[in-house]
Amino acid sequence: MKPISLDVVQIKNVFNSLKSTTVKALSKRESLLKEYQELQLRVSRFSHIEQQLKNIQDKLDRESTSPKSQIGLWEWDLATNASTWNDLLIAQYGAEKSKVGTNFYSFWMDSIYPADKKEVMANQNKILNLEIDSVEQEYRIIRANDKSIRYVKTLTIGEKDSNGQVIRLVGSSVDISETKKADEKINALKLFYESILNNMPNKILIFNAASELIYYNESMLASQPFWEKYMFQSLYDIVVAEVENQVIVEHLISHIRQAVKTRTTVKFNETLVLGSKPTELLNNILPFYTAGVLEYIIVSGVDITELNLAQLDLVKKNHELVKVNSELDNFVYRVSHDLRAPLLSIKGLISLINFADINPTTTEYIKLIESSATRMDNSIQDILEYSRNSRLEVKLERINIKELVHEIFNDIKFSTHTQIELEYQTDGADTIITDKFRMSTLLKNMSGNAIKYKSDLPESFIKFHLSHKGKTISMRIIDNGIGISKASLPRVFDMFYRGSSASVGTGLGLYICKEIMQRLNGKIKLKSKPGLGSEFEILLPVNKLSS
Amino acid sequence: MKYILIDDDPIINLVHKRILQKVADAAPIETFISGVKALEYFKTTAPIPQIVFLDINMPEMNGFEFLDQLIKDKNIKKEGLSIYILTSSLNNKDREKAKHYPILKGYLGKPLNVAAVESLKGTFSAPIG
Repeated sequence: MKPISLDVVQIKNVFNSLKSTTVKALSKRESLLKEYQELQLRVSRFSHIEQQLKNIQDKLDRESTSPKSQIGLWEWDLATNASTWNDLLIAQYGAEKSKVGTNFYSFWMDSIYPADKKEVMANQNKILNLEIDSVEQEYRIIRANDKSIRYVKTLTIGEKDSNGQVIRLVGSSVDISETKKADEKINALKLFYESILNNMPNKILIFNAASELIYYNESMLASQPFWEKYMFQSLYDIVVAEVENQVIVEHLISHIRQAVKTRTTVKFNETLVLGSKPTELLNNILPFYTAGVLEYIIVSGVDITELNLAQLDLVKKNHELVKVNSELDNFVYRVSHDLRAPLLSIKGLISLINFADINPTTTEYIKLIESSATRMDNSIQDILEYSRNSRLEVKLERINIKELVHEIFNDIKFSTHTQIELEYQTDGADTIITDKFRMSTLLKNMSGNAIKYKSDLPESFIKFHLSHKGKTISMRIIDNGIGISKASLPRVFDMFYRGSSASVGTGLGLYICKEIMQRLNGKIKLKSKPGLGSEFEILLPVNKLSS
Repeated sequence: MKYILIDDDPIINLVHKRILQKVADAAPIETFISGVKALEYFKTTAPIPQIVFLDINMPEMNGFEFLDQLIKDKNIKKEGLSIYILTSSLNNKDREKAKHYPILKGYLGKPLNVAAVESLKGTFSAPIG
């Protein structure tokens, strides 16, 4: 038997180091426990050490700042069935000394979480049966006071006599619930992020600062299974080993170098032949720095094969659409031109007739032929305008309304030989930004109506008032024509609506105006009184030219 | 001075011829039913002041192709020519395209009428004469 004094000196040394150690921090508590466990192992070989142990216990009890972070100690003498335990152990189990009484053993048994009890008992029996000398284990207990479940980490040592028989069990116990909870949280978080990474369509590889592969997700393995062989290996070793996919790895290395050199995200496209079909990948390399130091290189790839195909398809379809639209445009013009040409010949021929030579009835018939031809020509023009408005894209440009109004007015006045005055006013600029074709069609229809439905009064007029009202442009077109009856007013914007059979129009003019305003995001308002005239107000948004 | 009508439709040519005859200047009128024939004419004619009415939509050679050929041909003296588009086209593209031909004096819609011709005549200049 070795002299006890030596061990007592050791105990003192350890104790001194224990004393100087704060026991608040989790990690420190662990190291404390470890040191103490070493100590326990050493002292367990001697039977009369209780006093020293008690001293340590007392000191520890007194030192305690938080009961939870302390080591509970106990021992059980097999011969006498006497057991001792420190206050910390009782506190760990949420009990009071008085209530536990002398029978700590049965209290302890009752406190073990039922599902863990079997294993704890089995381990204890192994010591008693001399199968093992000691056991370190974790199990759950149910705390007496608040019935909460706590995790404890324990060490149990069997002390043997000179015959090798177990005479005593000594043990320590630390409440590790907080560590356990933190671990569980970290594990849950880890699982959470891993499941995100694994289930996302992106293919991910992560390398550490030494270019060693430290992570790949399932998506990456599905397309490039070779990475699985190289966990924790350096890219520079992988490039040598992976002969079959050397080019892929070489590319990756050169892009990673660039990313690290420039400290920025590098994007690159890559076409891989995986299986039989080529796959287009859009890769992203992010060098990840913490406090200016490179920590990780995150490689993330997205399969854009389908996207590219869809885009190509879209471009192709759009191209076809533009072609079809342009063909249709030409066709419509061609047809309208070919329909108009003979009509214009008819009108021209009529204009050559010398009406003095023929009788009044024939003259009347010829005038009717002319008005029918005019009407047909108007219909062709209106249908053309309708077709253009519904098909063509809105093209914004800066246009001078003053010039446009005068041009249109003079054209109509010239072709219809009508006596009518034009007045144009503006409260600001003459120019607005809008679609020229549509605006000109709209103004042509409005002016045309004012002339078609002018009254027989000698002083017919048409007034254009342009005003800029913040975000809206207002254009009022006022005439002193025959006006519109109350019954017709709500219907004049309907397709093919004509006020009376005597109306010379096609019933499309105002309908086209309404459609045009829809395309230009504008509004059209109408006030009219029979015999007094009509006032149209066009409200347009202020547009900006995209440069 | 001379009037030149270029249009593939003989009826409209007749109509325009009669209208021009009503304009009291008794200038001779030549009609062509194709741009090709009109070009041949210009190549062989002395450069006198001429007022040309040109259709756009014609088979074989359209109005703009006619203008391109005319401008390119160094044998044709253009100084005396006053060329007007006379068309039934409602296509804005045609109107816009016409703006790119400085040789054009105007863009008119069919059919001509006497008043229109009279007002045009006021703007004629006679560089050679």
